[in-house]
Parts: sequence; structure tokens; C-alpha cells
Amino acid sequence: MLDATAAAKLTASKRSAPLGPPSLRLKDIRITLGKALRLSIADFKIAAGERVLIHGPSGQGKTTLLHLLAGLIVPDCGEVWIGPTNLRQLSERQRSQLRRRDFGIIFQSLNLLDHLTAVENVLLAGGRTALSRHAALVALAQVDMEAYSEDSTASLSLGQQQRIAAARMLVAEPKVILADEPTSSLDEANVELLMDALDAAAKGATLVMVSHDQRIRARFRRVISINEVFNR
Amino acid sequence: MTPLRLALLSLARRRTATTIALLAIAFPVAAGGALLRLYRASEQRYSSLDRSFDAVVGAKAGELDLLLGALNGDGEVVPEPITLNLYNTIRANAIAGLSPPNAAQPRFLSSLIPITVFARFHGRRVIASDVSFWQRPAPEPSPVFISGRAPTTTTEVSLSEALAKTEGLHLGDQISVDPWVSRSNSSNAALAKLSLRVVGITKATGAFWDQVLVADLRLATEVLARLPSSELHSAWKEHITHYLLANCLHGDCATLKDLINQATVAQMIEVKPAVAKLRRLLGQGQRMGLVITTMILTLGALAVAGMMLTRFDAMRGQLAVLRAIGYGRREVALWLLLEGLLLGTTATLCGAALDGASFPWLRHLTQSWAPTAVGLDLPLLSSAPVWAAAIAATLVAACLPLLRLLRQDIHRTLRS
Repeated sequence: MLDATAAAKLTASKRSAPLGPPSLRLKDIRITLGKALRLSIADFKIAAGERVLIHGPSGQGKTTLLHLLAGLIVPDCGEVWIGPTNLRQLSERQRSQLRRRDFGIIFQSLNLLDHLTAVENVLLAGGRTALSRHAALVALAQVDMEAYSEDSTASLSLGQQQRIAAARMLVAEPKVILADEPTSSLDEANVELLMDALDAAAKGATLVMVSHDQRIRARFRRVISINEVFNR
Repeated sequence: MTPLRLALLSLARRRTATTIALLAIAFPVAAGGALLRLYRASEQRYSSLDRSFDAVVGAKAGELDLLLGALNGDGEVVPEPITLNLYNTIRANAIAGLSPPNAAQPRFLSSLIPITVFARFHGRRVIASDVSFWQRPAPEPSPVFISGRAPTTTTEVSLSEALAKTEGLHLGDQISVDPWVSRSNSSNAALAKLSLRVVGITKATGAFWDQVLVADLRLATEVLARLPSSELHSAWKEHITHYLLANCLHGDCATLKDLINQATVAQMIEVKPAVAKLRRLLGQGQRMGLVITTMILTLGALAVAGMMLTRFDAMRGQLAVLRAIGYGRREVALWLLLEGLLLGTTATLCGAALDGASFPWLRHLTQSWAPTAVGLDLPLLSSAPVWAAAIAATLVAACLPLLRLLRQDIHRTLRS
């Protein structure tokens, strides 16, 4: 349950929504995944507005790190700070609200609802708040997907789906962007398109991307290995 | 995007799955609704059975046939005729108060009413009786006129307010009835239609009598006299009646039973034991009908539950994405519930339409299991409990994925 301090902080952060991107911090984190895997993070900070690429081999905790930052995993102990808000003190509902309001997330796959059209998937970003169809179409145009706006996403290629997911993120104007291997199955041209879209969205946001894709390293000032984040 | 819109889009875009689910619910709803109405039709046998008489006297036949034919107007065949002399003799000698005070034989009946079926009006029976039908000794209930009077001539008829309302008849209206006897299932073409005037409208009783028209006994005798003997099949020619309704003094019908069963070719049945027997015999069929209805609905619900679970499993990843981008558990749950509700409601409407269309055919198939359709008060709305059960079952089916949703680990789902 949310204590009074955390509630006050969330309220305060809502009031401060127009302010810039938040800093991110994971402190004294201990997490158990499955029966045997235990990970810990002593102190990991990402500055407000920073663009960070985290690389490393598969299975080393890159996705877990993103999910910790998004509040999709609650650690056994420790603190997850998104700006002034400690996620561990928020209820699940409040974490959902925070993600909807401040986060943009792209996954490696499974990004879209396949029974919806491209534009309807973009409109999902608004939650219950009705986004304008025009804004969704503009976002699709930014990733060069306007022509597919009424197509069922099930019929689109993975690269096209990733770009629609990017459009969904763009339209929400997030303050934190979390991207999980978004380019892993894309060709060169689509990597460029997607990264351009992410760059556009990342202006005024804190961007954390995990990837082992060498093609995108040059776009990041801070590149760190996942092994530098987790203590095992 | 609201949960309602998500639900609508999900149903509309998965047309094949939605259609199969609709059919999986609609057919059980139709079958369940029709069975429930047949069950209720069967129940109406008991509710409209006039139990204010102690005994029925008629030609020798099956006990239940006589009971249902006499007191509920069941079937297209009325009881075989008996001689009217039997009625006159018993009435003269056995009814308390009517016989000379110095008569040697003890009186054992309080009332005896002859009923002769001789015509049909829009499928309903037109029966004939005499003054004993209208004026029964207290405390027996006599028909109560809300307007007009009992028919006294051979050109008059009376009916209940329920029937008057159904047929749109009023006092003074002239109606045309078809002469008819039980042996021929169709009206006797050889006889001209009878024109009768409505002279009385009685208060509805909820019993079988609400569905018949009542004329004077002399009219029945006149009509029967005109029938060819090949159709009448009566040794007594037109001097017949189809059955007698009796009330015994102090409810003791032993004397009447001995008299009728041992000294005449007719038979007497006691109403209460016969009704108990009827209920015993039909009850099993009814219970089986209810069990089948429940089973059909359960199977439909299980089919929907299976479909919803399959759909949920197929969408697990997508639901996890939805949760990850900020949709709360409550919103996703509401989506699934609304999807179930919309599916259940639409399928129930389809099922109700199918029920309404197929019921006459099903009723025909059941033959004597349920009473004749004429006079049955079985609106489509009587299937409403099945509809409610179907919608509830669909909602319960939609709740199964919700349980999984509650336990869903978004992190693991997204990783997988």
C-alpha cells in the first residue's frame, strides 16, 4: 500500500508533470528470479535526460533491468527512484498510472494488439483518455507508417510493428523511454528509421535502451555493460 | 481506448471465433428456453386443471386420459360418449336436495354436471352443459358473470373474460363455430357452421374453463342429431354426453364408484388420486427436461469458458504489453468482462430468436407430453430465466481468464 509520503510524492510528481525528464536510480536492489537466480544492484544512476545503452549477452538481466525501472518487477528489497518517486512505495495501480503518464516502452516483440489496426494501436497510448486520431496519424507519419494506418498489425512485418510501437510511444510524449532490443530483428534501413523515431521521442526524455546491436552504439554517449550494473 | 471499445473491437475483428462462440451459446439458449417453456406448458396442466371436482364419470378409458381430457381439455380426442340417461338417472336419484325428501335411497352427491363437446371455435372446444354447470350448490364455486348471463337458448354461448380478451369478443357479438366430434380430427364438413351470440362473459378462473365456450346442452343434442351415425358411433344416438363432473357428499365417492364401475359400462375416477398419479408419471419427464436444460446450458458455458481461456492464452503477451504500457489490471479485467457480457447478451438474443422460431415445431414433436398449444399462455419471455442463466454463465466463463490475469507475471510473459 502507498504510504502518506509516497502518495504525496506521486501527487507532487503529477503536479510537476510538465517539468523535464526524471533521473532514474536503482539502489540496494536485491531480486530473486526463479528458484536460484539472485541479482543485486548496489547503486545505479541515470541522469535526467541522459541516453544510455546497456549491452551484454542474452540472459544476463537486460530485460529484467528495464522491467525494474518500469515497475513491472518489484524487487525483494531496495529502492527504485523515478525522479522523486520511489516505485516500491506505489501500489500496482499507481505504478500503472505512472507508466501510462510518464513512460514509453518498446519491446523486442509482442508490441501490438494484433486485432487492432495500426492507428488503433497508437491510440492505446492514451489509456482511457481519448487521444485524437489526428495526433495518432501524425505519430505514424513520423515513423513513415501513415500508409499502413488502417492495416491490421497482424499482417505487418516485425520492423513495421516496431515502428508502430515507436509511434505509440511518440504520441504519448513520455519522459522516460525504455527500449528492449528494439532493433534485434530489423534490417539496416529499418534500424535507421526506428532509431530516428526514438531520437525524436527522446528529446526531452530519459532514454534507456538495452541491446547487443553494434549498429546503434554510435548514437549513445553512455554505453555500459549489463555486468557493470548487476552484482551476481 | 476504453475497455468497452477494446471489447467491441476484439469481438468484431475476430469474426470466426466470435461467430463460433455466439453459436455455442445461442443454441443452448434456444434449446434450454424451449425446454423450459415445454416444462412450463406441462406444469400448466396442473395449474389449469380444475380440481374443484371430486370425480369424473366417463366411458371406460385410461384413467389419465379421462382426467386430462375432462378437466384440462387435453388432446384432440375427447372422452368417448356415455348415455345422457345415466346423467339423468343419477341426478334424479343421488343428488342431495333434488330428490323427494322421502326417497328411500341415501343421497351421495352434492352436484353432478354433464359436459358435451360438440363444436370448435378457432381450435378451442365449445362445450354444452345445463343449469347444473352455472348453479352449483354452496360452497362449490359457480362461474361468476362479469357481464351478461348464462346461455338459455340454442343460439347462445358464453365465455370467459380471458378468452373474450384473446379473441376480441364482446357481449352481443355473433360468432361462427364448427360442429365437431372427437372421432374426426377435422370439423364435420357435412354440417353447416353454427352462428351463436355471446350472451355472457364470466370471470377468469385460471382453469381449463377459461379456454372453452359454453352453450346449452340442448344445442349439443340438436347438433349431434344432425351428425351421420357413422361419425357419431353411439348406440344412444344424439342422447349422449361426454363426461360428468361430480362432487360427492363429504368427499366420499365410494358409493358413486361402486354404482358406476359395477353397474354401468362407464367408469368413475377420483380426481385427487388421479392427479397424484399424473404428477408422479409426468414429474420424471419434467425433471429430466430440467436436468437436460441445465446440462445443455452448462455445456454451452463450458464451451464459452474454453474459448475464453484459449483466447486469453493466445492474448497473454498482448495483455502483458497492455499492462506494461499503463493499463491497470482493473481496466484489462473490465475489457474481458465486457467482452463476455457483450458476447453473452448478443448470443442470448440470437438464442431467444431461435427459441421463438423453433418452439412451435418442438411443441409439435412432444405430442402429448405437453398440453395442446391452443390456450397455452407461454410467451417467449417465459424463457427469461434461461437467458439470465446464459448471460451469467458467460460472465462466469469470462471470469476464468480473469483469475489467470490476476496471477499473470508481466515480466515473465514479456520475456517469453
